[in-house]
Amino acid sequence: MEVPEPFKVEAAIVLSDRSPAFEKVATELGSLLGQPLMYNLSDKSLPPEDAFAAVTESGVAVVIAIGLPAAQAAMSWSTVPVVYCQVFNLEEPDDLSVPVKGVASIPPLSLQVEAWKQLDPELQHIGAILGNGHEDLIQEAKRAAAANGVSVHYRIANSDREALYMFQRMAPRIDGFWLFPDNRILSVTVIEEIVRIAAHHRVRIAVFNDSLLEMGVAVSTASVEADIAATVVAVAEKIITGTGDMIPDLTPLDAVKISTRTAIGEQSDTFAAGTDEAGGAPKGRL
Amino acid sequence: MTPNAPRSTNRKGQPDARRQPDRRGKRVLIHEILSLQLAITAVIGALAIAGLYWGGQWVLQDNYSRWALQWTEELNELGAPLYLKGDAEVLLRLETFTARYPEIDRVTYYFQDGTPHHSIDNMRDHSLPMHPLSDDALEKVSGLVGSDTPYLIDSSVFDAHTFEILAPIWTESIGSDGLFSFDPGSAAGDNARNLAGFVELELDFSYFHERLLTNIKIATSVLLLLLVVSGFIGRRRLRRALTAISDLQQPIAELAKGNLAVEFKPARHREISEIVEALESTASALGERNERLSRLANHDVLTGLYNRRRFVEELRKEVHKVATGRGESALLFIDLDQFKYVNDTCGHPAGDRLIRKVADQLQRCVGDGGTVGRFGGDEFTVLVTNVTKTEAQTLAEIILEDLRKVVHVEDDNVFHVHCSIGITMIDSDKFDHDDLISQADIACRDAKTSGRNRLAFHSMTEREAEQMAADVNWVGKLREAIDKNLLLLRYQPIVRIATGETSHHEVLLRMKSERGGMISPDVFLPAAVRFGLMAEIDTWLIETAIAELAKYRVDTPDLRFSLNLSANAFEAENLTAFVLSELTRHAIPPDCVTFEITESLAMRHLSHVEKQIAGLRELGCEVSLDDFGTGYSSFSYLQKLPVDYIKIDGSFIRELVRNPVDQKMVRMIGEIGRAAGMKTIAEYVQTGTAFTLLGRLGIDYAQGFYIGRPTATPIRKTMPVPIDARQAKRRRKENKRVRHNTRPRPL
Repeated sequence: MEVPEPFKVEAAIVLSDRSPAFEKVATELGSLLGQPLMYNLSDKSLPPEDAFAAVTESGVAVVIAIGLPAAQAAMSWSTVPVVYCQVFNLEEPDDLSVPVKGVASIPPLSLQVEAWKQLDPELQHIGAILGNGHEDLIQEAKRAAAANGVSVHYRIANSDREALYMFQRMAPRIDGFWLFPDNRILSVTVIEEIVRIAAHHRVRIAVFNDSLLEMGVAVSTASVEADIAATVVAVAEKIITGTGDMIPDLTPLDAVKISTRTAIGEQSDTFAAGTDEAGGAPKGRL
Repeated sequence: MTPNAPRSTNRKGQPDARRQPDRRGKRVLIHEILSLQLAITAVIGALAIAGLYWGGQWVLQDNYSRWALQWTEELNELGAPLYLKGDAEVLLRLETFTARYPEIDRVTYYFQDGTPHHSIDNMRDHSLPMHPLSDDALEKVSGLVGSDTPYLIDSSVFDAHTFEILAPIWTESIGSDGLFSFDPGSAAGDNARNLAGFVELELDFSYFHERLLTNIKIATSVLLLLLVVSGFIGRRRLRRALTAISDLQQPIAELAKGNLAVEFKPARHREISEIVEALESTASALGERNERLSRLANHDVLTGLYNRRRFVEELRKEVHKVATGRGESALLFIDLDQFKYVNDTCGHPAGDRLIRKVADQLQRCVGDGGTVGRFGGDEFTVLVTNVTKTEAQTLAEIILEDLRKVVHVEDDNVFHVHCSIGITMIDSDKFDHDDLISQADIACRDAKTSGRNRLAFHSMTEREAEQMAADVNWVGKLREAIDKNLLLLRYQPIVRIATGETSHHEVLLRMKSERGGMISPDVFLPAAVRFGLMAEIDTWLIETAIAELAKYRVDTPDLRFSLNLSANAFEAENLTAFVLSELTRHAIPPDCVTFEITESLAMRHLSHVEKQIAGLRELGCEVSLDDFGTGYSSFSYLQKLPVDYIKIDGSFIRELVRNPVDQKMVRMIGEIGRAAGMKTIAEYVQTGTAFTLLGRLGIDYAQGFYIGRPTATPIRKTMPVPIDARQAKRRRKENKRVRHNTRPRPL
């Protein structure tokens, strides 16, 4: 049987900036896509419109935007379909001129809850506070929690103070708290206060970033850059092959990296290690 | 010398109470100590209370500030949702929070433009209107967003219990979406801040302030109570402690009165015990000193017998006793025969030893039946009480017999002591003590006249009665003269023969008679010596002469006086000090005063006189040996007596012109005086021939009627200089010049 040639995705990568999280994803994408065109929006030598003009001229089939500024620029300037990733709060304009698909910025909540539950079997009530526009995420959270026998208490906040206020009221009633990376309702001070109050009420916090472990939280459930890249490429292929309509606007990820304060490891369908690591079963590609 | 009478005594010698200021202190020691203690305690207490008040105030204010800021933060957190969405529960929580702290008067939330949003208060009057923030406050507080001290606080030290705090309410959000590269360490500054509104707190801590004041009032009351109690207790304790000092008052008063046997109560406190010990030591020392002074005042230094003053006192008492009908007594006046011979042969120390031996023997003879005194020189007195005339005679005979047995050996010379005794009986107060002494003395002289070594009773002949009356009369006159200043001074010039100029004046004593005439000292001085008035006369003489010298020196600055002093003056211990005080008082240079002492007096009390002469010369005064040649005229004495002048007795001068022996004697005295470094003065110079001759014989000064008679004021005279004296002066000058010219000259 003849093995078909892997589909070659002609894509250009646009980064919001040179932050490590974006560059790691770009690196993973580069390894999957060969040597794609790559633009960095924080490079002020080339205005966004010029950069996207060059992308158009290059004849690529798709633009992969990493981060919110890149996604917003791509939706404004790109003449080819756009796949974005590492974006948590995106408000798509109504007059999109090109197809736009996204990849989830956080690992699947079901995997997170499953891994968290393994690490903390007594986990019963999880709290979460989000800004506006995350109804899908809330629904996903509810489902993931229910699947693991855990309840979710969520609140919608408009500011860091409100988030803190809500957490203060919520803390006595929960034993775990999901700290989502919604920058609109978080400030450093409030994160510190939430950690302090949580410690006072013995509430375990799951955060989205390993670096927050230094603040004293128990678990970090971060996404895996290779998983993001693979998912992005898969979405791009669907768009190029004309089956983009069959995929959701936001494609979930497949892997989660679980870290605790005592050991940091990575959980995915392909590898697992460490005594403190835990993870859910791989769901497979889209 | 007799010191001046105290100025604070009246005529009767009693202390004059009118002149004595009341030196008793008006202040009470207990009150003073207690006042000081209470004042210090009150000051410390007041400072402590003030410190407590301000310290408490400070602590409270500090706490108020902390609470206020904490509440502000909490209300900031609690009230933030008010700006975000309607939440009834927020208001409930705010009201609950506010109600929990009665110190919070009101909490007001404002919109961004400063208009009131909502207000919650604990005040009774809820109708107080809400006012918008002033533009100034709005501008200030808006600038505090994100700062380290995001609030405005309004309080003062003077109204520390009310606060007004205004703080901004703002929200923050992290800039980057998703937070995938979020690092809490580096992302702190990335927050975007959005001002939501303001919160104002009005706080009133009056409750705590009033409690602080109440506590301070209680503390003050307790302190005052403690002060009163400590004052009361301190007063009692002090009074008790000081009682020992008060107890000393009576014994000290007794001590001041002279009661040296006073007893002091033992004290419990160390300090007062030390005072008591010191007082006891003082009393003891005073007693010893009194005894010593009393002994010095009442006893003769050489023999230890009663001296003249004390004996006279005893005699006065006895006269009084006899006058009251208590028996009959006898007074014996004893004079040693030929005592002068012992002095002349073996010297005065030998004479002193003999006097002591006689005194001991007399004491043994009389025993306890009488009192023995040394009246002066070789004169003794014995007062025998309760004796008849026969018994007195028997005692006198025993004394004569026992003294005859006394053998005194000096330098291989053996002396037998003989004496003459005069006795007078005391059977009434018809005669006073002076009369009786005079009677016994006359009787003694009778015994000597009758052949010495015998006794004689006084029998009053008409002549003797007159003599005694005259003596007694003189005593009265002398006392009156001293008291009424009837003694006068006369001044006789002494000239330097070589120049004829007056060198100084001899001051001579005279007494003004009742008829206005002058009485020679030869008339009244023997009575003065006999009745012990010489000390007063010497004192008067020194005081008056120096005062007069000061007066005359105003016009005659180089005037100098020569004063004659009696034996009494040289016996006084304080002669030098007295002279110095008088010289100082009148600012007289000491070398302007010369003191004359007779040769016989000097020889009799050689060792004592030596000291006095040395003392006077040390002051700077000069000393002249008077009447030289009449007494012992032992030239060897001149080496022992460092005098400045030798005054040749007038007996050598009177016949000088005609008598070659006198001339040789005078020349010899002059040569010896020059050799000894002393100047010579010739007295009794009556003629110009004698004056010229004296110059030729090498005598330095001359005095006598030829030079000048005693005058009421010192008159300076210049006598014609004898040719020989001029030649001698010229020769001395030439000799001096030759010596000067032959002296080796410096290169």
